[in-house]
Amino acid sequence: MKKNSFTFEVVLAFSFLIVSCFLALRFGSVFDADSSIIYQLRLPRVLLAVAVGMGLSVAGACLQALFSNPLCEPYTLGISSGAALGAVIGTTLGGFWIVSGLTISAFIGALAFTLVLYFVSIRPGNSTLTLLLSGVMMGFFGSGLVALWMSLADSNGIQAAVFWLLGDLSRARMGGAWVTLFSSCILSGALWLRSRQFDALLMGEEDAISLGVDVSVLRRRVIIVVSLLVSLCVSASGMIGFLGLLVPHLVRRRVGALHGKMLPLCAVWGATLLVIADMLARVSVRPFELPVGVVTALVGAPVFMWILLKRGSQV
Amino acid sequence: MVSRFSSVLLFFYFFSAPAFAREVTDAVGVRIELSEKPLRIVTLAPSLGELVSVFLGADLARIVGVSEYSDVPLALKKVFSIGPYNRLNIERIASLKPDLIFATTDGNLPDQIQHLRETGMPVVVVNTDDFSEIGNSIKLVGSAIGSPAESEQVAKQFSESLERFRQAVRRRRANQAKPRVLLQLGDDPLVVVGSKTFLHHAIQLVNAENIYGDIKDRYPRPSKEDVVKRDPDVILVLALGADRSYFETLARKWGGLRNMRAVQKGRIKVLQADALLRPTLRFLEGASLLEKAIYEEK
Amino acid sequence: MSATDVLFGVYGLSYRYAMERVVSEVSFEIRHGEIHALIGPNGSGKSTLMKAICGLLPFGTGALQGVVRFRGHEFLRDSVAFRSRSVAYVGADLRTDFPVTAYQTVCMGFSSLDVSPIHELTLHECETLKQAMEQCSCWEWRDRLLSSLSGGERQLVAFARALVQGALVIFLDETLSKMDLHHQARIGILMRKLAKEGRAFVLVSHDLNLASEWADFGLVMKQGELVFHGPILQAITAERIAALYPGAQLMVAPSPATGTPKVFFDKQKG
Repeated sequence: MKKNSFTFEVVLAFSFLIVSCFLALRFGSVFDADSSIIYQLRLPRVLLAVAVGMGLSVAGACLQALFSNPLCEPYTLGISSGAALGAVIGTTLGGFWIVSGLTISAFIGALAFTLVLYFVSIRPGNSTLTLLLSGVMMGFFGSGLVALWMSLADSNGIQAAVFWLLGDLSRARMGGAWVTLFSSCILSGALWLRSRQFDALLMGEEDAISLGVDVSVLRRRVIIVVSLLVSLCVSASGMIGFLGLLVPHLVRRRVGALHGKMLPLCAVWGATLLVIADMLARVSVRPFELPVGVVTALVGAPVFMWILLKRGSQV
Repeated sequence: MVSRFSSVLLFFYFFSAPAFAREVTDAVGVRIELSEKPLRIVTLAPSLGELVSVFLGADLARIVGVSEYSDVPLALKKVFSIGPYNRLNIERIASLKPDLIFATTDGNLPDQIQHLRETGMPVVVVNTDDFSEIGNSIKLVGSAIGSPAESEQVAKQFSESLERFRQAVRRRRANQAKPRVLLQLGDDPLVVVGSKTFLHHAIQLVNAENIYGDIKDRYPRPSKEDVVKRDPDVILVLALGADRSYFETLARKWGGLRNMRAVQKGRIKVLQADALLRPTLRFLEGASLLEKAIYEEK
Repeated sequence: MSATDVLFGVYGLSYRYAMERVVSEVSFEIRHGEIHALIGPNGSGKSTLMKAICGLLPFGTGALQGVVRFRGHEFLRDSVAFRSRSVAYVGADLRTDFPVTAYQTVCMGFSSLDVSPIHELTLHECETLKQAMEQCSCWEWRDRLLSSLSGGERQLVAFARALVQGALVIFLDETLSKMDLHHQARIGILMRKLAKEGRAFVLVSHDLNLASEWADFGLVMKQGELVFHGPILQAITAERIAALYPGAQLMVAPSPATGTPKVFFDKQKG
């Protein structure tokens, strides 16, 4: 199953990443952009795309392991609905909260939901299934509140929120992008260190315990780190779906399911895919700009289906 | 000798200094430094393109970028587009290296305006959704462009025309009852004109009553039952763009509600009034079309 | 460490799911080198008992009463990591939805406690792994995905993993049931060999003949209670079997080859 050596895979992944970043900086809504545009406007977007692509892919892979379920993805636990709720409340408050504060209000919303999930996870006797269901329910609840707000709100306010909700890297600024990238690396690294324990969980919770993994402690800690990572990504760039589900599966096909090798490659490939998606979002319908979440879904889903059908459903 | 030399130096210094001769305070209170005569102007909404063109006259080449759908005056259709007003393309704006950008409080995203400011571009925000501010908006646009005197004149002209029109309407319609009007913008969901919008003021200008004028929302979405309850005398469907047939279908949809006054008297019309939506000098054209539509019996 | 020291002891163990008591006051002791079979009808609490004493079921909430001791000290108070090196639980089916190979699975017996994500196995660990997999006849297909193996083949992998964990007591929950006869035989012989070296095994099996072939002792459960604990010849008798499985006409006779008690279907009435 492992056809190529790990070194080869790493070199391949990084090459794609570097080429994508180069392309994303070179091409945009304007031909012959000068360096100030590239530096001030495109570079923060590329940095943010790397941060968010990495974060969402790693978070998705870890949730799939934690719940021993290949269908999990970063939004399964409803964190993104918390962020969306925070963001729409921010737009209602107006002023500071619509501008730089939108990221902060989204993050606060996401953290509130994270806190609830944490309390569910530490109650003794609560199984993993309880946690999963709680997350899903909170997701529905948050989405419901967002939909309610949208039906009552003023059209201008909705505009600001809608683009963010569909996934939007255009709000990237230099300082914020570096902070997000740095935080994303730290949190992803913290998850990577637990690779062996994630490996044990691939066979289910009972097997993991019998192999020596303290699943309830792991769950508690991982929920916090994953939720922080997802909160970070979603508050910075809205809901960019699909990556968190797709990238882990693609990477497993190449290097197998063990997390020591899989997580770093998820990070690099996730970053690459989002950088390319953002470039496509900017370039395909000039002067308009597509929401990047739309690109990842519309392009990603058919590509993934094609891969699945071509090579069989062997995950 | 030294003092004369230094005064000559000072003289040359002032002449060679960058022409940031003036400061303008925009509608949200931000002070922007501008050159004497901005030559690279970008407008971020169609209404702003229209307003700026009034002051530039033949000098339209000073407008280097406009938002999508800027089609008045027609020459603006050929100008470089910087995206739709509610999702501006910051890169495109930056590539034009503008020395003056006009933004509106009604439709441009505050975050994008801030982003433009952060990258160092001068943005003057104009308040185009407050009817009572039309005069100030005109003066702001004019003075930012570098024609303050002209802007005073235009603003004065506009408010005088407005007053003349208001008096004329009062005279013309003195003998008629004040009609109660529903101004519909969309269907599924039903969207109507509430208070505070330009359209609401237009209705008041022609001496009519907006049945949803008591609602604080700008564009409320009531149920059809509520409309039946309020029972307007006239229902106007506001048509935008070239395709009238869709709006005529909307008008016909009211036909089933026979207990409504407007349906019985057949006073349901489609009004083509793009001018009414643009808070510019063409407003009065739209207002007179509105008057005709409301008052004529069939 | 004499052979008569108690390796693993369960004293007065009860387990409750919600309001219902599934296991009541079970006590038994296991010594080095012993192979026990845990038998009884469905619903008698066999699996629950096994999982509870291995620490796989939540026990902090008061659902579990009684004491479990490994080599004298309280087993359930130890860390999960320490427990996994003392006692291994092999479940009924080793399943995964992810692309894991047989080799990687067995490797986890070593590496689950590793802190470093990139540490490779030492030479000694590699040797141990190979030996365990060869003993369990799964070395040839070590690079095949777990999901592509049959149930019995997966159980061989699971057994190899338990060996690699280095545990002294191994609990097998229906582990041999799905294996082909030749694999069953191989594992049975392996168990005997390892038992002589000091390990202990507890097999849960609903197949009495399988249990009697390989086990020395029988633990008989009925409705959550331990009704008998002793040599297998005395555990599987006609009266006891008739009490456990009423309604079927069964007879017990010693195997012509090994003398172990076997259960046969008699001519059925009705």
